[in-house]
Amino acid sequence: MISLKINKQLVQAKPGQTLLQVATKQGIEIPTLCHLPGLEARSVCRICSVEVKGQSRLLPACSTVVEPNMEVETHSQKTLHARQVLLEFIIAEHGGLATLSPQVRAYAQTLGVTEARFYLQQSNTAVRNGSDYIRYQPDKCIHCDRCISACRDQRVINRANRGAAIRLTFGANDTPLAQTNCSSCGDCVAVCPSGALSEQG
Amino acid sequence: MPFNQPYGVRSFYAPGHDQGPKAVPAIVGRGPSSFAAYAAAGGFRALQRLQNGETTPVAVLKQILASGLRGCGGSHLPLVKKWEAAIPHKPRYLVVNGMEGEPDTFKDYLLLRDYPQIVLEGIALACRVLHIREACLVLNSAYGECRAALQAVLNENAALFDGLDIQLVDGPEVDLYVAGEESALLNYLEGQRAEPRLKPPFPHEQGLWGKPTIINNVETLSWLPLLLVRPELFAGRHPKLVTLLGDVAEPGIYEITLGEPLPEILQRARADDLSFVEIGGISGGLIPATLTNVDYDDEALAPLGVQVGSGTLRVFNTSRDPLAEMAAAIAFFKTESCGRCTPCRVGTQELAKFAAALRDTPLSNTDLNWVHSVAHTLQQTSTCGLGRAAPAPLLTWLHHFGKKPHD
Repeated sequence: MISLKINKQLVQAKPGQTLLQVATKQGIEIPTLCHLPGLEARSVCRICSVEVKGQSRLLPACSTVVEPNMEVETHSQKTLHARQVLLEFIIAEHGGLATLSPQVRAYAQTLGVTEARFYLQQSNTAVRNGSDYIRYQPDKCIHCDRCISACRDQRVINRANRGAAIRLTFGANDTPLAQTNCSSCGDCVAVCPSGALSEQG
Repeated sequence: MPFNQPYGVRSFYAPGHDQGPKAVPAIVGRGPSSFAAYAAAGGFRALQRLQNGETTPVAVLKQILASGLRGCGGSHLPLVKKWEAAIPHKPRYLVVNGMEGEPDTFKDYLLLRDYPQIVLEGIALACRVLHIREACLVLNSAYGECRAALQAVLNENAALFDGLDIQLVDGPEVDLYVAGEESALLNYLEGQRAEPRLKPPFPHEQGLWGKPTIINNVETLSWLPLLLVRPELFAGRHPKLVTLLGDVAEPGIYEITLGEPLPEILQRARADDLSFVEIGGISGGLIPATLTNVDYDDEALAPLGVQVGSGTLRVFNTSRDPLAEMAAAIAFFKTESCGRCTPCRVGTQELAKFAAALRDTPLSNTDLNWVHSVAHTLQQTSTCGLGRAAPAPLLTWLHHFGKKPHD
């Protein structure tokens, strides 16, 4: 067992556990967004950032593995401020809070975020039909990578471009769908918190 | 072969991406050069000594670790830290980073073009002392002209490279800034999209194909033969190649000593009309001429908010506008962010909006607080060093130029 301190409380953890796992077990709620239990952590949204003593920057709780004598603050001013800003980033990218998932809206309420103070200019709004059943609306996407994680075995969904022009593609380099392995299983739609991926009739 | 995933397998960049390779101006090496002297004397001496049994890999490793050599890719962390952390993991691969993704930086290009033998001798020395058999040198796709000479060195000196598998690999066809980040480079070599990985695990724990991997910059390894044959080069000092460009009479690559007064370095290239200088490349910052009377090392530059970084110094004369240069740097990050993590992807767009509007709209106090919040979030939560460095040009501009209104 490994001993560490979370919010000044001494806690025990098993080697290999993440800070998120240990905190959750202690009843400490750290907000998460991109994290999907059971799947490889991608740590892209950074909403779960926590402060670890001796580290110059914040670390993602969902992928940071416990180490002996770690001293972790999950709700310091610094972490709360970063989470508020990051949540505003997500709302800005999506285009509003109201249409994000209930979980995200609940976090926003806890963090006192009601809207973003800016919205991104979305240049890439062309809707792409992922398959006969799946539709992708890039202007709603918050790039949490949940669909990429969920599609891990098939690896149909990828990221394309960079910077402000970023978007998802079905198939590497936008290959025609017939050449991808998409079986329209709908896993990606099920995990999407933004409604960017949806089923179509 | 582990290194030769053809580009495009899962690159994930849209077809017809309009940016081509990095533009390479006519680069020349200027001033006295240890590399030129070593090459003129025939080179390969350090490797030959090892081969002839005049010294042992253990002795050479000790000498390297004790030299104080620092990573010349931009981090400036002591090489001993990276290697000592890696050695217990028994590194399997050596990846040599010749991406040189930082704009206006050409020191590695000069080494690859003019001193391919020294570059490869450094790689071979690293392999021999670290007991690595497989190495790959990743070349920026704009540096393709260097490839033939590098391959010729390998072919003509087969005995010296005996038992080593050193491959030359082309970097992405388009100019990708983020691909120069070491873990992004590993993804590229595996045929994945060139995005940084989460650290930990560090490459020396789980690197290429999950195996312990050491990644070093071209310049870092090129210093190895020199420090072994001429230890005085590293006796209480640290030589470094700098790219000196911009409004200077003699632009080029200069060999300097870290800690030298910056005005003397700038004067070598004859920066006669100096208004401000960009220190540390595009992720560094702009420093007005009045503040350039400092020593050129990380300790002395830190109070100005900049670092030696990749060793790039871009000089601007009085006809140039620092605001426009800063806005261009921030716009660069907005375009080049790989988009993987939220802080960098969204934060660079938000910073670019303010940077572009600054000329017409001075920042209110509310704006200023928000800009600092955004910048702080990037520095604190971005996945890789490139995202963490992205706000630097704006922050240093605000610090050094922000108070005075600019015409």
